[in-house]
Amino acid sequence: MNRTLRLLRHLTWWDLVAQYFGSWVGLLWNVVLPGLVIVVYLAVFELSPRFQFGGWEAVGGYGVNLVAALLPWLLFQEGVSRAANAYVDQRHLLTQVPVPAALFPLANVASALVRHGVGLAILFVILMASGIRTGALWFGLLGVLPIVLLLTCACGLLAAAATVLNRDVSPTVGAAMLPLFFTTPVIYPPHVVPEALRVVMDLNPLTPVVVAYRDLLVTGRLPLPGGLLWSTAVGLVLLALAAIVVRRVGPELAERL
Amino acid sequence: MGQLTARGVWKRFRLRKEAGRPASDHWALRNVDFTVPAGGALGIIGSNGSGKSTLLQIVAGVLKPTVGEVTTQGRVVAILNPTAGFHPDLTGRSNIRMLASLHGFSGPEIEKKIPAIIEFSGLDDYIDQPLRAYSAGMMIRLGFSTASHLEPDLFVVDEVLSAGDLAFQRRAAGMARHLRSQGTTLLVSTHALGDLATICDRLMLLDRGEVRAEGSAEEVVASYLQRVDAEGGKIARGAPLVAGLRPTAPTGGVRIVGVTVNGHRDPDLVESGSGQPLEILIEYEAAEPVDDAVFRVQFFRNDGLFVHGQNTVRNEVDVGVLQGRGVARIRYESFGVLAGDYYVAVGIWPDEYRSYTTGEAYDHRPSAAILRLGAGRELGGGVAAIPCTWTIDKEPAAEPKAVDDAG
Repeated sequence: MNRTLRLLRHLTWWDLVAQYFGSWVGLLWNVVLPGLVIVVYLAVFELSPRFQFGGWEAVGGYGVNLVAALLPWLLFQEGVSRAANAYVDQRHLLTQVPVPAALFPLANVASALVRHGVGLAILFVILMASGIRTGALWFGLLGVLPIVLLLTCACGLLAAAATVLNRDVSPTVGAAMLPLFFTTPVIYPPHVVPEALRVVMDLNPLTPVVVAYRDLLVTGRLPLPGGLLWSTAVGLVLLALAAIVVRRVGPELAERL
Repeated sequence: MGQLTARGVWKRFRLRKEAGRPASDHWALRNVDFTVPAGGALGIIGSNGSGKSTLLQIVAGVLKPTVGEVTTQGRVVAILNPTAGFHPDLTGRSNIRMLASLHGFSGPEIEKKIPAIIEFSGLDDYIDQPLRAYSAGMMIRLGFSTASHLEPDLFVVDEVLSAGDLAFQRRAAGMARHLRSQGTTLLVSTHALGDLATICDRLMLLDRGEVRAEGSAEEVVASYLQRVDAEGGKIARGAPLVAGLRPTAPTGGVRIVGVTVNGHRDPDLVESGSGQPLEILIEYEAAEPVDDAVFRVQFFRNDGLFVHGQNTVRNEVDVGVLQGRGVARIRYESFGVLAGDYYVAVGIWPDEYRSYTTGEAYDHRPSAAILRLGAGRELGGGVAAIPCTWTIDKEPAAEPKAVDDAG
């Protein structure tokens, strides 16, 4: 277990390093890119008063509401998309060093988590500066973040293993992200969704999570536990499925690549 | 530490469905059983496709056996392919750090090892360049240097010892011996049989996934070469395995009608002896006039070694115009090649080199005959029988000194 965690740490580190290696900014891109996303969205939506978010109960402008929900979404999207290619991209290592198969996609998720942390730190500073202070509710992330991670790891592992079996999976995952993004209430508040479409949004396990982020960081209230339980349940089922697939595909990875 | 045991290892690969062929199973290893005691060294030899690499990948833990099990003790470090798991975008130095960290070394431990690794690889000038700037040979050097410095209890090396330039091959073999003297167990596969014999105390011969022989280096190498010879003989009757000689279909013009070696016309096998006369007759037929054709004979040993060749251009023979039938004759008064089986290749070519490299012969018989030469020990060893004489000059002997045994 100890060795596995150490290997995961090393793989994550080299994933962070290798992505931008040789570029002038190097490792700092991991800070610059999330920072840029946040700053651009805030600048565009906060500086134009036309954009209103939510309605009567909303706190903060459109920009902060968007960014608070965007961060967990980006963690999921980036983690799963990169994990989908984990084995194919790292075949040079996989066919050389015996590392437990699950660690490669998990390292991609972990490096996405690092960038997520950077994003949260930047958002924290911006919220403080703009007077939106939810205080102890920030600690609520300790409960919500693990659920995002659970979903990301489960989908990432599944996508990675499936990509080895069939190379069509990786682009399919990329294509699925767009509809998923728009059925998750990131750029709009949940209550604007028409009744007929609401079931789609409610079944999406990411919905409770991004709403919870927004509640905790901007609106300043505790998220409802029901939705988060649904997300957790879906996450656990997907993880169990991933465990079965990885167990079956894992030993044959090197020869299938 | 370092002991290695394989028990009844079978490995199956599923071959994917292709156009016109259904999916099928390929057994790369069949019931492979062996033990290498801690500190021992086992070399694996066998032709391409015999299962060497699969076996090494299983020992390294990268592949899982379909049936059976492999147990290892201690830290297993393997070099399974020339790129050694390196990342193409990272520099040599970063790649050393990455590989070492994945083998469980901490940052400070790695930094301590890096100077020795760089020194051994001889890549000081390139170590901070990204790997994609490296040549294949440089990558092999870096991979071997890194892996050999990771304090392996079991060191698994696939083919790398026979790659790289000659100087590095020597250093690598030296390093392998050094590791052994430190108690590291070695599992090595290579085509460089000479290196294996100096590194390994035991060899194992794999053939189509099965262990055909295991024992001392001399026994197994002898058995391997025998197989290669047998295989070579088989090939000679079909398409011969002669290095550098794969002509396309004859272009015509002049046709070889028959080849006579020492009086035997179109023989399979001609037996003779070292230093004996050898005469080869090439009967030709030219349907239309052909100017300046080149007659060529060549001798190849069954491992592909080009032993000797001669042609009419080198010998400054004026061939002139060929038309109709005729015979070209080459005679060696004393064929000074030592014992062995040799392919006799005979051809008629438009010119000396250009057509030879493109393989466009008027006509060509890569294996016109097999020449089996016998030779006594007195003619020497190797390929060439070269007449020589010895003299030994002794200084006048001094008086034997009386031994004072009085005490």
